[in-house]
Amino acid sequence: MDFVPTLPTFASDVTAQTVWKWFEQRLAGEDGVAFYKYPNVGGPNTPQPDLTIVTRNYHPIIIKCSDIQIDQLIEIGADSWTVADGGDGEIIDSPLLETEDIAVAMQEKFDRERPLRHALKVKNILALPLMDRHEFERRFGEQHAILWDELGTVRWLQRFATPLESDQWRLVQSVVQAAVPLSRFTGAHLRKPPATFGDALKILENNIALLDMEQQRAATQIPPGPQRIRGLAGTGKTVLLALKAANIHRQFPDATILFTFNTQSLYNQAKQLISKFYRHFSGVEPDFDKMHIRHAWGGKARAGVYYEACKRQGVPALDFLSAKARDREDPFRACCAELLMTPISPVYDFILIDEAQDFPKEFFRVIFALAKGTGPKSIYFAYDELQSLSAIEIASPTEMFGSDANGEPLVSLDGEYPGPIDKDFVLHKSYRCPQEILMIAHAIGLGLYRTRGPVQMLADVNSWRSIGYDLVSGTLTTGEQVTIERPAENSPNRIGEIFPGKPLFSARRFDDRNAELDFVAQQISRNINEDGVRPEQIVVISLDSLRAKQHMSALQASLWALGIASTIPGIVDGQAEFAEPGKITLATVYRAKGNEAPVVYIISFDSLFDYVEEIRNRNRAFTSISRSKAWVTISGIGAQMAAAEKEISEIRKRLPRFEFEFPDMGKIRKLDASETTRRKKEVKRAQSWASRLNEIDVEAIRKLDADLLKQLKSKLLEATDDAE
Amino acid sequence: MTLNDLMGQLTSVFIEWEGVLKDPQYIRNADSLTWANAEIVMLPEEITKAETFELSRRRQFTFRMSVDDSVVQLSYRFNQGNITEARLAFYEVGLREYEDDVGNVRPMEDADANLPARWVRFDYRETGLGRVLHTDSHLHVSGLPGTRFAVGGLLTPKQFIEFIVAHFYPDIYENVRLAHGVEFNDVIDSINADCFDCGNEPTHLYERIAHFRIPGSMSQRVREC
Repeated sequence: MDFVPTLPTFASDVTAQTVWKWFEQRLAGEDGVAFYKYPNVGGPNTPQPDLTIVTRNYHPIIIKCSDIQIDQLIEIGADSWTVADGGDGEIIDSPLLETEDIAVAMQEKFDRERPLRHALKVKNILALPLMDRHEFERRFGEQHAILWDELGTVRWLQRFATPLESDQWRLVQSVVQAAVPLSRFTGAHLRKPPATFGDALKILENNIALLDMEQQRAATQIPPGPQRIRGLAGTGKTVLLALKAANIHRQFPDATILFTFNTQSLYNQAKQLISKFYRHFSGVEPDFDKMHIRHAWGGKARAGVYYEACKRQGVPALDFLSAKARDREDPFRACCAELLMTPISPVYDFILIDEAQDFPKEFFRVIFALAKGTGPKSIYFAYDELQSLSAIEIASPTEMFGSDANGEPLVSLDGEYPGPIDKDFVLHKSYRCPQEILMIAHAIGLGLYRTRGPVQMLADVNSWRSIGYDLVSGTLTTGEQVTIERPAENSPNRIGEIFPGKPLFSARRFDDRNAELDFVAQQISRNINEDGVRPEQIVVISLDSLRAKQHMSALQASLWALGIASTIPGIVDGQAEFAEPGKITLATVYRAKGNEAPVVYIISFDSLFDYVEEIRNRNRAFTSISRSKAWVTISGIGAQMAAAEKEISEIRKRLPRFEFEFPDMGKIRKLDASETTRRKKEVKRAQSWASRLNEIDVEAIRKLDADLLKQLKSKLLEATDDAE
Repeated sequence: MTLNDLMGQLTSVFIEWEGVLKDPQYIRNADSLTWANAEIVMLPEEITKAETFELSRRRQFTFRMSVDDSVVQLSYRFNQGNITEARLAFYEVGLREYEDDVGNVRPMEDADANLPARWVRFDYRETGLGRVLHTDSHLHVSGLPGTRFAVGGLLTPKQFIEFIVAHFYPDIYENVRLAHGVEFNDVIDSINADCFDCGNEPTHLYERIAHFRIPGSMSQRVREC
């Protein structure tokens, strides 16, 4: 049995603590979860439960806890109670009816789901732990639905018992989590086992959306200061942050909330999610005057955090071109830096930042200034620490937000908030990719089985753990043999079990590009015509970014000839053009970022081994492979594709483990961006010296020192072997 | 030229300009050639890139240009096998790509969005009225509101794409058509070989007014000479 205090006030709410302790003992070992001050259901006047208990073997229980004592109670009426308030009596709404109101509102949410109708009855209890029952009943007569003491919990639980079926239980949790709007569950029964891959995908999609405990805490808790939510792509960060925003808006309807992000096209997704989640419990749309969903930059045409802040402060906002002129590498950094030169007025009570890894530190400082309050500020940010495998060292909150005049960090994630509520979450489970696919993506990205050793590496056990792996044996020191494992529970996607008929990952090698592209076009045609896959479920990514347009155009023509429509998403708003009904999406790795599809083809995979762009290309390969919710087919040409096939076969032999010799981190760190520059220069140098050497008489070369000549010959042979 | 010929020409023009054109959407709808989900709207003469971008976003095109997502719209209508109406347009979107290492894409900024977009549109409607200021076949261009340039003939899809690439993307045209080793005359003659025999006002009118002439049967005659 888990317990989620959604507000820090639980730490000082002795009444609720007492009541929860009574239940906790009785429910130990139960499959279920209890919340403090959650969910906030019904209209604006519906009160809030102090405790909500949902378990597999009992009807849901709504509890209001009151610390009223017998001497404070003057009168009990049908609708109201009169309590002593100094000299006068104060009339309050009957806590019994309030509890009933919540139960009625909650019942309505369950009744919307067909499988739960008539199966569940939300129970409501008013807990009066400080009240003397006999005295109460002597004065006011017997009342129903009151819990007086620990013994009472036994009696109530006996009455509330009702074992649920597995699917019913999943649905109950989904309703309470407000995750149910994410489900595409139609109630229709699909053929099991599925006859085609398309059927298998339907089963996968029809699963009831459910949050795990890590996610539930991240989504429902509202800490009184900063909080970071870390996780890989596919761990549900955007969804959780949107759910959190909706919960905050329900809990604090007068608070101003900012939800911001980096990718333009996330706007619609964020707005839809927040609205859906908010409507689930409230039945009405969020108040968008209070809930601001903003792109970080913005412009005249669309609102954005930076643009609006400039407007409020009366300073001119930089447009893209002028910002780029000031900071070629990161124009947005220039914008924020300039804005920080003027005082920024605080505007928001709560700020939620998605894609925090994509922002410069200057933006966090703008955010800090925009947040109200003098103490810890309620800034919650989702961070993908492995968006790029090379940037594995996550920026510290001090680097991001800076320090005060005394050198003290403005934002600290040490310790925990009262409740307790975590300051730093790590989401270990990656829902998008099946285990095999994600592991291949990681191993290729790091180059674990590259002939010349890894190009990137996670240096400590915690980094591995944070992306869902455990160290099984060995130590992470140079030359040590290590075994690292990904537990199955960290990759809950079970498509491989739903449809075991076809391997999830396959690689194909061809002699030339035309043959490769023909193969992909034919395979896609088969996917659509025989496997029951819808065109919009297929994405083709070109790993070679330089020739991507060429490859994609050729593939588009081949597909068109087969009667299959496709789209090459455009420059702006690319994501909106993803998964367009009836069309295959042909994309560069950049365009594919942030998107997912059940069927992914990666063409020109041979470009993985580019001398100059190796690290970048491995990151691209990681991003491309990890877009897939089910199948991945990679293809390429020549010797380099053969090398890729060999590397992949080494990876697959050991799954679900990685066994490798831990590399020298000193050497790995050198393989960063400066190495790319050095390699570019090396290529130029090689070209220049080779052409000069080529002009020299053979006899003159023969006169070289024998050792030097030998070295030269061996180098050339090695280079030729590699090329072949 | 029949509707079937036209469909065939669109496929061959798409393949010929592989890498330059993308996202084909042409469809045959009864006696017409149009594009999927076509919304026929007359755009104002002065339009911004934000508006042409909307055309691209809403997928209102026969093809898009790979380089900048500009849109090409082609529609032809036939009646009993004869061409009666056509509308061939090009709208510049012209938003160039900016990508950094993590794949951030340049935001749709005001600097670009508010710029006027360049465009051209060839209109054709058979009336036989012989109007001087509103010939059956005419050309509208951006920047000249209300102006209709008289046109002799009607462009085929091949000829239209040729015209667009040559005038809006001269670098690409130079590489593809005027590069060393390309026999330009042979190529262009083959493009003009299948053409429409329409859109020419009564001879007495076009002999008297300045107009654009679409190469067609006349080119063949020139070649024969």
